[in-house]
Amino acid sequence: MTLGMAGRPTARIEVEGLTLASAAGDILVNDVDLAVSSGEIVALVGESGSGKSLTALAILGLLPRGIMWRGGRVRLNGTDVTGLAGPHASIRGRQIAAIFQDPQASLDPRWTVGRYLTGQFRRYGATSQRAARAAAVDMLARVGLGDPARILGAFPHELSGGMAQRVMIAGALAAGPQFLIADEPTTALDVTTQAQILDLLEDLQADTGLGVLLITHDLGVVAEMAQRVAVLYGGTVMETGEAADVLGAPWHPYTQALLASMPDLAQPAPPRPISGSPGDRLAAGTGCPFQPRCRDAIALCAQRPPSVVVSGSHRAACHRSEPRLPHGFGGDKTQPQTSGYPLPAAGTSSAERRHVG
Amino acid sequence: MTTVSATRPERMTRASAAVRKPLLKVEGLNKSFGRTVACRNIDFTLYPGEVIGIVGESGSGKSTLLNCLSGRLAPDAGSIAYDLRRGSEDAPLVDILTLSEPERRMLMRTDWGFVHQNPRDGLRMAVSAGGNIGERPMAIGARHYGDIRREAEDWLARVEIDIDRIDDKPRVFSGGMQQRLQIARNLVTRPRLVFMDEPTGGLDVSVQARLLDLLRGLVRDLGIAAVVVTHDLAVVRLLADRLMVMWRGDVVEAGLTDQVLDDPHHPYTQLLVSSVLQA
Repeated sequence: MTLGMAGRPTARIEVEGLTLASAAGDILVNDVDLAVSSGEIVALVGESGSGKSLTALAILGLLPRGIMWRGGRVRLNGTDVTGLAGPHASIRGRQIAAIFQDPQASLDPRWTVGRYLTGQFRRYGATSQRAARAAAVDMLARVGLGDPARILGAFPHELSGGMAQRVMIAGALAAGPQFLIADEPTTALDVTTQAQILDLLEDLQADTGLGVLLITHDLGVVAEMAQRVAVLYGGTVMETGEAADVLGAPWHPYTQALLASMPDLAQPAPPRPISGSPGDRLAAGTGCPFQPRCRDAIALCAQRPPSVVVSGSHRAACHRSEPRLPHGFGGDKTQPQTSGYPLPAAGTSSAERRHVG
Repeated sequence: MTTVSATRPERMTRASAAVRKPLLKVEGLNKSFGRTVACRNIDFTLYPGEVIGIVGESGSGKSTLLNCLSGRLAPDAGSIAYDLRRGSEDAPLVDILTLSEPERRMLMRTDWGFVHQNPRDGLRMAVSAGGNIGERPMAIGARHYGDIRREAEDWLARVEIDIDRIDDKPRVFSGGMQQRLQIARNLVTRPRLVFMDEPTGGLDVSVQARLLDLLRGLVRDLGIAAVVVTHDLAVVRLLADRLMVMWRGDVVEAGLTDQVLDDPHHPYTQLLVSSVLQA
């Protein structure tokens, strides 16, 4: 990660202490640190309400109305560009591009793909309509769409989901950005199409040295794509590090439980659910947000957890100072009732939890 | 041959009749929308207590098939014969397409259930959780308030929803709770056949695992037969005994779930299985 790929200088987005709150004062994102360098894919993974999309929108300066910026900085190559406002507004699209979950919703239904793409290229430097169109044809070929001439004349409703996402990627890359923020880029797509789009992102990233911030809820996608990962819960980074370390030897009880709750195609044993729902969490800033659902919770968890260095860059925010026996990695998956996350009806877990807080 | 006939009846203790009678028999089902063929010559048989999974990508015809089977959409051709048990236990299967509207409605309210992907499609969001569960019993004649409420409490407990929430409207429930309520609402009349359209779609992994666990338990305990449409192979691996893989309107591969997933033969099934990402 020291030298830029494809002869490009190494660029870096750094997010420090990002804290966002709702209008009512609830902390939605709490002190999130994150860095993406060119040439790497960093995944931000979490369930609904974990704050992963808000973090992306904050970097892009596209926070919806009613979300308050409580603190934190975004730096691009060392320059403070927090909020991408004023003189930094041109960074969005030019240096940091984004694609979102539902490509069909991101495209204007009244515009042909050609109008959208040539518009993108005109905006980012093509000197003539003819040059913009030529660049659009090239770009469509690069994102793997055969027959660019036909695609340019098509309206969004004539495209399949996978084609529409390729068009979005083509549009996002029009300005030759250094970074791409991909917010659940394959969630709305079929698995077979998902695999193709992920392959495309990987190829583009390798070719151009793009830095990708990949936002997803799917740990399978993380394992396939990312070099580094940050696991979010309740707006707080629970665990972060090299993807192989975090997924291979998860340290935080939340990461362990999340992995154990994934159905495994290779074995028909049932996955182990986490009790409660992602909405159950301690208000950010007061304690570990996962405490209400955590099987290993202790009284101390009502206080803000420290950042524990597991190894190298692998860090976890947990009061427990030694790793517990990882759930779901001891081959005991067949006895979910005795060793897994018990359902709330099983009594013991709720009793254990009640003495906390 | 004598040994076979001697051991067979023992193995089939769960079946009530000596010869297993199918619950649902689909033959030559076709459905097109204009020139687009959604289902082409679909044949399959479902036995009581059996769960069949239908997988495929969007546009493969799996949802159309489910809608045809459940009587929500009329197929262009073919028959969907169901064991109505009209008259006696061994009455012949009846084509549901020949049923009168009241008969079909009765079937949908009692012997069948339909679990939608989006709980909003299957629940009445402005009616309390208890009212949602009580609707089906009331539609077939239950009038005793205490009995209906007790039944609702019983089902809330079975789907692990706190009984204190019985008077809350489903719109204040989380996604996972709404989906569990939808299941309770469907199972309260003890249907023999439940259709499920992406029952775990749109749920977070940690919540999805709990729902799968619950569905597995209920389907096995109550001996319900089910047709589960999903794009998630891990879901069918857990729920379904048999699997049909659909591609562009055709069933391209069918068989025991484990067999199909462990040793896929059709190129599309192979692509599908190899596309699944594991953490």
